[in-house]
Order: sequence, then C-alpha cells, then structure tokens
Amino acid sequence: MALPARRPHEHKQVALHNALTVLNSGAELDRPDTPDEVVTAVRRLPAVEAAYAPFPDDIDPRLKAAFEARGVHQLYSHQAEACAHVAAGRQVVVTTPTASGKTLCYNLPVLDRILKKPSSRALYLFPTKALAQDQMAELHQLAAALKDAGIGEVGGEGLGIHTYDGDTPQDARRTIRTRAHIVLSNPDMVHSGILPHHPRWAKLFENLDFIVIDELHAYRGVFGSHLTNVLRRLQRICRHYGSNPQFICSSATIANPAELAERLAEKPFALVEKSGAPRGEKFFVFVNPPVVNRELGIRRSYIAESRRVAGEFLRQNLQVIVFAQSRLSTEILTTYLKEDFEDVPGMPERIRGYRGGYLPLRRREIEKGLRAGQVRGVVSTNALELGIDIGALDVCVMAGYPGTIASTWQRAGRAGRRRGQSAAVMVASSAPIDQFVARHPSFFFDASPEHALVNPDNLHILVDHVKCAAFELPFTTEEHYGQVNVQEVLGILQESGLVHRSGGEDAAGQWHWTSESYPANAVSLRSVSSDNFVITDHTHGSKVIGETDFTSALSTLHPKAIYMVEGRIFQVEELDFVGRKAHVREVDCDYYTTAITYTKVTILDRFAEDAPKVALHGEVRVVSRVVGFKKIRFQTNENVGSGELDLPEQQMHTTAYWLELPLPLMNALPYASDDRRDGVIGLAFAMKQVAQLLLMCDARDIGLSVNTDDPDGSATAPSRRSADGATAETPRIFIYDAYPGGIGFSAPLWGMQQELLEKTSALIAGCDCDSGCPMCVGPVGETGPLAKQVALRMLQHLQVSTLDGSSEDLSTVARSAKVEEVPF
Amino acid sequence: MATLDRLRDIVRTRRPSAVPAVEPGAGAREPHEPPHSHARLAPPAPADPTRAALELGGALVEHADGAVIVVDRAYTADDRHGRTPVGEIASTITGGADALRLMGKAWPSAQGVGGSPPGETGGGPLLFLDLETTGLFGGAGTQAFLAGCASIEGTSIRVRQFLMPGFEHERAVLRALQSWAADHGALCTFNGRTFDVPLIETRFLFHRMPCPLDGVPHLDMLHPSRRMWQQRPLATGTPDPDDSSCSLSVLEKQIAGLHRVGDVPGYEIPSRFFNFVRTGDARPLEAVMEHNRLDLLSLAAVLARAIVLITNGPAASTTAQQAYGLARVYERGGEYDNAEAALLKTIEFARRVGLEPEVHGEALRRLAWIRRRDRRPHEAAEAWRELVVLPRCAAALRREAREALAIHHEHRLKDLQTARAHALDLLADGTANPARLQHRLDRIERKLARYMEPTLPLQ
Repeated sequence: MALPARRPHEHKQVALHNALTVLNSGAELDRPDTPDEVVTAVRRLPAVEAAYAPFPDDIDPRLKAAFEARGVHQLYSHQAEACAHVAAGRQVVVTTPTASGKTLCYNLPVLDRILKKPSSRALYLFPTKALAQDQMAELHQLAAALKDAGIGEVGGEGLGIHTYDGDTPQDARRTIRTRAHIVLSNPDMVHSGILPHHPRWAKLFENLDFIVIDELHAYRGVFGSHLTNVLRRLQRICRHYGSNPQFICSSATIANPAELAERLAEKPFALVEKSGAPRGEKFFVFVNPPVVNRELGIRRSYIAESRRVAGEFLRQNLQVIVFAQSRLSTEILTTYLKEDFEDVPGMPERIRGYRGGYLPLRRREIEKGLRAGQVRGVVSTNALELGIDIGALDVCVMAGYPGTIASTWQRAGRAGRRRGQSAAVMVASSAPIDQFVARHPSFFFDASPEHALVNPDNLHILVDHVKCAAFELPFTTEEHYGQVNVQEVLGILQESGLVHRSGGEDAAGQWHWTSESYPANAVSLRSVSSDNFVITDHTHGSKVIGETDFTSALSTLHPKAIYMVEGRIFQVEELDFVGRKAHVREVDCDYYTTAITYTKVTILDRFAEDAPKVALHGEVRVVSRVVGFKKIRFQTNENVGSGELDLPEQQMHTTAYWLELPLPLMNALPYASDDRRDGVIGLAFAMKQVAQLLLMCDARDIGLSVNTDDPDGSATAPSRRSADGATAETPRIFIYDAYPGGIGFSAPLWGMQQELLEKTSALIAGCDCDSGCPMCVGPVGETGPLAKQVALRMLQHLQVSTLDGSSEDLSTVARSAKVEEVPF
Repeated sequence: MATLDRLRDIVRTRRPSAVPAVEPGAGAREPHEPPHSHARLAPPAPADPTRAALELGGALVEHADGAVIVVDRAYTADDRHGRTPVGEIASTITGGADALRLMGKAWPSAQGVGGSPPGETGGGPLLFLDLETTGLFGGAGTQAFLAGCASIEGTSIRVRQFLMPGFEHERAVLRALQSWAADHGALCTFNGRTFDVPLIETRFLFHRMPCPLDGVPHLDMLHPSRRMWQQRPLATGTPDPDDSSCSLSVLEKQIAGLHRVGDVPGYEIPSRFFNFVRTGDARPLEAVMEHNRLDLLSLAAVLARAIVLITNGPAASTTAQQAYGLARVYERGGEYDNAEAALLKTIEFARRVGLEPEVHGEALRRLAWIRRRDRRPHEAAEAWRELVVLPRCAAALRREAREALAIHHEHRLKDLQTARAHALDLLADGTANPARLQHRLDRIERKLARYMEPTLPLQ
C-alpha cells in the first residue's frame, strides 16, 4: 500500500482522532477501564498550562538578552527553582518530563558563571556520544546569541564549547584540553581518555566548578555502579587539583532521583520535580490483543497487533515511532511495516529500523530523516528512548510493555509537543507482567515509577576502578575509597604485583602503580566485558554491517543463527569466537531463530542463615551454555525446526535469592514426580514475573534457574524423563542478578518474599486459563498439564509452613539431602 | 578473611564472564602459577639507594624532595661505537652546524637547532635525550624511571643518566633533569616527538613543575632517518608506520656497525625496574643502563651520518632512495639548488638500476616542480615528458604529468595541437577529475576551432 500524500498541518488533529476512533471501535476517547476488551483503557491526559518565573536577578544581563533572542523571555518555575539551588551552592537534580526545558536548568547557571569568572570550567556528561553532539549544537546556538548580545569573548578568548569523545580528532584535543570552557563528554571517555591523562587536563581540573549529568536515570545497574566509581575517581583528581565541583543533574521521572544522584555522586542533593512547562493533550491507550484460544490462553500475537495499530496511524499520515522489546522484534516489525508501506523506488525509505549495533552513519541518517519528516515510521529498540533529537513525533506505539513505568513514560514522551495532540499506545504481549498492566491500568497510571538501583561497591567493579585510580594518582596509606577497606584491596593488588607500597611498614606511604598496562583499557563501563563481536557480511565482498556485545553474541550469532538488519535477513556461517567475529551471508528464508540456553546455578555462600530457611539469598555461580536453537516461522510463529550447538559455556559469580521446596513437602504432594517437577517450573515462571514487578526492574536484570531432580541437576527445561522413585534432591528456584557480582536485587527480594509468594499465588489463582498459559505458569505445551494445579498446592503449603514456623524442621531435612554445594 | 579471599579471586581471575569457561574439569585457570607467586616478592627489603648507586657505578645525590642516582660515563675519541670511533661522531656533530641548521629549517619543531647563523645569538649545545619508562601507553601512571642524557664535549661524548631510586623520588629526578637541560639549547631524540617529550611533559605537569623542554628546538631524528634510510618506496608519499627499516636498532647496525650482545629486550625493561623497586636489587638494572647508553650513542651516530650526507651532498649518497630522501631534506630546508642536484643524482641511480620506477617517478615529479618554481618552465616540461614515458611508473604521477604538459602547451607554448594530444592521452589514461579535463578539452577545441576556422576541420 502506498502512503497518501502529506496533509497540511492543521489536519493532524483530525487524523489522530480518526485513527484513535478506528482502534477504539468508535467508543468515547476517555472512558472507564474495561479489562476484558481489546482496548482496555483510554486516558486523556489534559493539556497543562505553563507556570512561569522571572530570570534570577543577579544574572548577567547579556546572557539574559541571549536567551531572549532565542525566544526565552521568562523561565518555567522549575528552571528558576533549579537556578536558585545552584546559586545557593547546593547539588541539584531536576526531574521533569521530556521537552520541559531541562537543559536550561544547567546551561543558564554554567554560562552565567563563565561570564563572571572566565577561568571557570564545566564538564557535561551524557550517556551517549550522540546526545553530547545534540547538546553541543544547542549550546553553539546560545553562544551565537551571546555573540550578538556583545559577548564574543570571555577572558580574552572565544567561548570554548567542545565535545570530547572517541571521535574527536587528535589535533583538536590539545586545544580542547586547555581552551574549552564547557567539555561535553561521556562517562566512558572520562574513564579511559580524560582521567588517566589528568595532568594534561590540569587547567580543567583546577577550575572545575560544575559537573552536569544529563539523563541521570540511564545510570542504573552496572552502568550506574561504574559511574559512581568514575565520579569517585573524578572527585579524587579534583581534590588533588584543589577544586570541588558542584553537580547539576537531570533525570527522567523515576521514584528515587535524589537517592540515585546521591548514590552516584556521593553528596547530598536538592530535588526539583514540579514542572512548570506546558504540555499538549495526550491520549494514552492500552491494547490487549484478542484471545484466540481460551483454553490454551493464547492471544493474537502482540507483534501482529502492533503492526495493525501502527498501520492505522501511518495510514492517516501521522509520524509514528514504534518501540519493540528486543533487537529481533525490532527487525521483525520493520520487515512487516516495510511490507505494508512499500517504498517507491528511488524515493527515500519511509519506514526505518533503528537499534544499537547499526553503524553510526546509518543512525545519523535515520535521525535526520525523522526530523525532516521523510521517515514516517521508525521501529526502534530502547535506543531512541533517550533524548536524541528526532523532533516531536505524533504517535508512539509500544509493542509490549517496556517493563518499567519510568521507561513507559519516557517512550511515550517521544510523541507530543508543548501544544497540539499526541497519542501513545501500549500493546500488551502475553507475558504475565504485560497482562497484569493491561488488565489493571491504574497500576500504571496511579503508581509511582521505579527505583533505580546501583551497587558501586560490587567488588568486581570496585577492584577495576581502584586499579584505574592507582594508575591516575598513587593512593596514600590513609586514603579511603568507597565503602570497602581500600587498603585491603591495595594489599591484594600488591600480591599480584600491580601496585607497590612505598615508605616503611609503619610510616605514612603511598601505593604506586607498577604495571606496564593501562588499566582503563581493560574496563568497559557498559558491561562486564569490553569485547564486541563484529558482524561481517560476505554476500558481495566483505563488509562490516554491525556489532554485538559479548554477552549476547553466543545467543544471537551462533552458527546458523538468523541475523537481521533493517529487514534484510542474514545467516551466520561462522562464529569466530577467538577473533570476535561473525561471518554472515544474506539469505532468503521465512523463519528466524531463537537460542536455547541451559543454566546451572551453584551456591557459593549463604546470607541470613539464621532466618527461616525456606528461602535464602547469597552468592552463586551461574554457568550458562547455548545448547541449540529453534527456527520460528515469520507471521505464524510456528516452530519449524531446531538445531544443536556446541558452544563454550559462560560463567559468572553473582548474588541470588532462592526458594527451597523441602523434600517432605515435595514428597507429600499427591502427584507423580513428573507433575511435581512441572509444578516447580511453573511456579518459578510465575515467581520471576512477580519478582520483576516487585523489584521494578527490567526483565534482563534478573535471571531464572531451577534445579530439578535431573541427574546432572543442570537443566532448566523439563526433560520428560520417567522417574519412578521419590524426589531425591531439594528443588530450588533461583532468581539471580544477571550481572557479575550482583547489583543488589537479591537482598530486597528476600525481604519481600512474603509478598512475593502472595502475589504469585494471586497471579496463578486469578488467571482465567484452565491448566496454565503464558500469562501465569507458562504455556501448557512447555510446562505440562498439571503445572498450574501443583504450583498452587505448593504455594499453599509453603505459606502455611512459613507462617506457623514449622519450616525449621522441614528445611533441616532438606539440608541433609544430597545437594550440590561448593564450600566457599 | 572470606572477603580477602574473594578479592584475591577477583584480582587473579580476570573478568570472569568475559572469559569463556575452560573445559570441564579444568578448575584452575593458571595451573602453572603457584598461588601467591608475587607475594614472595613482598614485603620489600628496605631499599638502599646508596648501595644501588654503587652497584650501578654512580652516585646518590640527595635533594630536599628526594634522591636521584646519577651515573656518568665519558666516551673519548678513541672509544668505538660499533666500528665507528667516537671522536669521529663527536667532531662531525661539532662541525655540522650548517647541516643542523638545514634540518632545523626542514622540520619546524627543530627550528633553531645548530645555533643561529654567524652574527646572531641564540641556540646552544645539543642535548641527546632518551627515556626508559614504566609503560608504553602514556597517561598519568606511566613514569620515566631513567632519563639518559648525552652531550658532545670536544671529541668526546659525555653521558649522564638520572635514575629514580623509588617512586617517591620522582620530583628529584625531574629537578635534576631541569638543571641539566638548562645548560643546553636544543634537543635531539629518536621518536621523541611522539613519545619521550610528551611523556616527560606529563611528568612535569603531574608535579606542577615548569617543563624545561617547552619551546626548546627539538630535532627528532626519526623523521630525517625515514627520508634518508627508509627501505620502502615512497610512492604513496606517507611512510608506512610499521616499517621497521629505520628503527634505531636497524640503523645502528647499518651506520655504526653496532651489534649488541646480551642486550635487554625492550619489553623486559619496565619489569626490571618494578623488580628493583620491590626488592632493592639494582643489579638487573645494569643491563638497562647500558641499553640506554648505547641508544644515546647510536642516536649521535645517526645524527653524525645525516650530517655527513647533507654536507657532502648527493655525491655521498649510495642509493636512489637515499639521494631522493636527501633531495627532500634540501627542498624542505629551502636549498633548491642542492635539491635539484640530488634529484638528478636520484634519476641517474634509478636509470642505471632501472628497478626503482617509483622513486624515479617521484624524483622527476619533484624535479619538475622545483624547476617550475624556479621559473624554468621548459626544463620542467622536460622532466614531465620523461615522466609520461617512464615504464611502470605510478599512474597518478603519470596523469599529473600529462595534465601539467597539457597546461604547459596550452598556456605557455600556445601549441594547441600538442596540448590537445596530451589532454586526450590523459582521457585515455583515466583521470580523477573528468569534469575538469572535459572543460579543458572543450576550451582547447574552441580555441582550435577559432584558429582553424578558415580551414577544414581536422579529420
């Protein structure tokens, strides 16, 4: 189908209403929630009027003139509030919606300080290079306005505003180091390119007044834990040069912005959260794909439903962004929409895909196409969730619940302007969490967004940064770092010859770096490994078409895997594990592949042993291995084949929460052993979904593993082995932090276990299906016919035994059984 | 204790998840390494800098902010470096002011090397500098533990080395280097522009001390060496950075006939220093000190050889490649007559051997440019004509020459037929800028038509 010609701007409103009316089968656009219908909720979020405040009195009048020239005649209330905190010398974090003028909250005080004190310096940190480029463009426009207002120079030099990242040419770097007033960079570059070379940056560090951290909410989990350490190192260097920078941070809406800022910068923060910016009217719609098989609890595919919804808006010539859950579903949806809206040969492509792993040039081209309006629809992973400038689109369609409330609002914010109407549509998948949200819209609309958690004292991360810090500046024997005893860490590093303590045993001394290596090179902030796999296409000659991080390489680039880029289909011919390369060739086929991964968890150390022992948390080793793959046909999603793989295993040490199902309990259940095991697996499936909801974390942040009574205890998937005797080993359900060293989910989950079991019970009991479905204990074909029933019985027993305290003797029995344990 | 063990485990096994697990059964990742292998090296024996200085044949000099081990060596006229007498190296450099000034003009950072011309003031004696460092990556954690300096004194070479007896003494080393450098007016290194000088600058910055090398004329012999001794053809214009044919270790064999025995390999140098710091045992450092001294002497020998080549002119060169390199040095230094002579010498070598079309072509090209610059267009055209018929010449050079000839014939000689022939040759040869060529051809045709109007069109 061809897209109709572009309509004049004033028709947009009509177009939006038309599309929404079609989706909503003609019903009212703001109506009560109806969990049983396809459109379960339509909420009209009314337009909001602006709240203004005057510019601060003491601001440089020329700066005020420059802002006025850019159309800013007064401030929004939150901007004025933020400036007041900065003026009072406080660290501040601003959390207001997308497009509310957050950048002014830091640009105004920073530029004002530079005008008053030309030696002053500021460092801006963005989570990506592209965001820094975006911001530099905005600052340059301000600088041009300043020039018109009569300020061509400060302190006899031009106002220096520069990005400094991996793309900065070598010959420009020297100038930037000494002349830039504002350096826009990213944590990775600070970590590996600036801090290790701090003597060359002496001028910046001596005069550093502000550190600006934009998109603060992006720094959670591993990345955030690394950032705390980078900021520790940064502040350590600042102390060395005698500066004490003030922090100004901005964040999307999360539950704990001030707490997160305090964890990252390790200083007290003031919070500004009431936005004074105006907002246009927005419709928020929840769509739950219709049930096509009630017994099996199967709904129409949410991908197909998202395709239909996005198509409805595209047909009205509205500009649409579709967020998909994974790289794979991004590619699948791109393929579908490209089919529906075929391009005219020779014209720019109107439907594009966008995700990490595309080369930067392609990404810039797509962003530009979106701003110019030639690209009418883009299907993206969360890569476009952050503030990359793609203009304001009309509609956001989310294919699947993004997993967190914060992320859902953030994505919805990519559509909509300060005036005029926009819409956001969430299409629920059959994952239990999606179903829960689709059926309980008020959970989303009325609840607080998530907490962002970091664990900067994760020993793996901390040790890496102690090495970097020692390289940058010798540690003194009195120095503190983080919450651990850094002197002990340094002692261990000395054992491996990495540092050397100078000065006598008793006298105050220093720890010097004694290795030829450059430790920052070995540490990647984005993951636990800095290794990337490069994907090379050999269809015509050889050409690099993308890259993938180490952790997902084995499951997405194994031999015979289907790899997609913007709808083009490639097959992996060879995975060169040592050379970190995947060789692919374009193929024509009608299926994609998903990997089958087996995971085995071994307990290394138990915490909270004196508490009731049915559930525990502690340290574990997780070994996982991609053992095979399934071929799934496009459109129908039927399984059309499979293959076995022999790939190396990956392992990590992390923290986990686990639930033990004591053997007496298991053996007391009136079911066959296969059914009991099915029950455990079904219970685990449901528990993970509830855990994700309770922890308010991303699905990828936690992993699930079950040890059943398989002889090697390693399989998570059930093997239909007939077992005649009683269950011999205590089954355990592990919910582990999916990062080496853990990022702090296990202890809180253990603390909430009563709620965890109750909510799991409610989820399973409240599900409409007969004997298990993807929305509770997992699809019946995979979990077995009695899983639902058995899981519920287990929960009843568990809750009773936990409550009456009889767990003590049950678990004693459990612990005497043969279990795989490794003494730590 | 559990925490300490966990830490030890983390420090030993690098990046647990990044490394695929070893095959089942192989629990220990480093079976050959006994546990706590380094632990036996610590705690360190109390370092005794005085004894270390003695063992290395130097003296310990103590300052308020630390100590430095100073090792002095004098190489007199009759000593030999390889097969070359030191006296010959020293006197060549002492008498080589003109050649040094030429190199000073050819490489901007070396401006001022060799002193000022008679009648002017400035400049000063050369300081040869070579550092031994704790790593090759630079950055705040890479230190120079040894600064080797050499200078020419009459017919001898004096080497003075500053060794850091421990990390806490770095300021003293820098201070010693500072006062030593103050007596010199110019710097000579090998690859010092990208390595030694930035590194030492960083150390001075680290300690917030003024760097004595700031603004000092600096002759980095790597660049002249590439011109004069690089083995690979220069057809692409940019030297291949991986080409080791003009590393100092190759050059010292060729130029000075030095074959080192028992030299310490470069990669071992940092660990020998770390070991000294940990154990206080200075003896393994002796080989590092000697390595550094030989590097300094080789650097002087390379400079001396370059001076000889420049002073004696093209006659002293032995290959087409070398004569061409020399020509480039003259040209960069503004000595066009010498450059032309060296280019003619290059062409002579190349013709005789016939195996070096790349350098032959390059030489003709430079020759043409120099002649044109000197307003001798007809001689320039001769070089271009020779270039277009040169067998196996790089296509880009040939095309450039054809275009130059077309211009020459069209504008200077007004010989439109020949200009047209050259332009058509270029068209047949392929050109990087077809639009410009077409424009030229059209213009030539128009002019031809205007002159030819009364007669019949050609063919």
